[in-house]
Amino acid sequence: MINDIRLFGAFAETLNLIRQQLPTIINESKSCLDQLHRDVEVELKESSGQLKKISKENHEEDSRIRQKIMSLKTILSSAEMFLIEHKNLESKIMDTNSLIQKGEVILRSFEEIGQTYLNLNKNNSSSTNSTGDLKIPSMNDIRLLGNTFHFSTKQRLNQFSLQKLESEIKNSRQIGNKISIDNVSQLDFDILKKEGYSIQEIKPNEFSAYKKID
Amino acid sequence: MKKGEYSAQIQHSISTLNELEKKLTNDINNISSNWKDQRKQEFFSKYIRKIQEQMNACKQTHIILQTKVSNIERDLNRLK
Repeated sequence: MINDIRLFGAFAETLNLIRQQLPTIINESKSCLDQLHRDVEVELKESSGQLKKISKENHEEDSRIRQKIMSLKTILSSAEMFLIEHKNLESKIMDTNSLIQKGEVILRSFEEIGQTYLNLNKNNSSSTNSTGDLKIPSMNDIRLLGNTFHFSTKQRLNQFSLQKLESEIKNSRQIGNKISIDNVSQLDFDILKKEGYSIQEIKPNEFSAYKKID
Repeated sequence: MKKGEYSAQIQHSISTLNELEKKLTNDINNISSNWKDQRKQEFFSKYIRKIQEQMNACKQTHIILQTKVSNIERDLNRLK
């Protein structure tokens, strides 16, 4: 278990950021190496042009330019090697990005599942708050004997569950004019009275509540 | 990019990679300290290690390239 599921989302965001930025970083360094390669090529071309213009008598300048061209050619082949090394890096970055993308999907799922779980718990707890520990009444829990609807519970009652009981009965279209709730707790007397029920002691310490309905 | 600023540009890429690495490490530490399940954490660590390794490899390649490019820049300047 993790204490804060938002961490998954935050981490997915970081992975997303890395996935977005890696190609930019790679493109930037690639364009820098391309530029270097181009600049050396241009310089080499210029130097070759200069060499053609120099008179054969100017040995010193001729030798200097020739040496420069040699150096530039060495530099150019190094720049070509850099581009090859960089190309290898590009394919590795594509692998990294696909790995990151998988992680992102998993982390987003973790976050989503966690959020769903938390929402479920939240809903359950708000449902518990409104109904107490009572199973929400349905017609399966209600028996019609004569003209009285009987509902039996050993659990706590509250306003929501009592109103639900009454609406279930009304919606059932069965004909009766009284609701009787068996085994009510003394702790629920107040809410029962508030909802129009009368309390009756059936046996010592055993109570039922009843109410006339239209 | 200005002519002759090749290695500076690669240095910029390295700095961005460093920032991303820092952010990644920070998030990993946050999750690890919050994750109680040892087995899942182990699986998670393997995945993260792989990403860290690949990012580190990317950074190392950039560092090597930067050194080489910087040497070339120096050679180019000598030729002028």
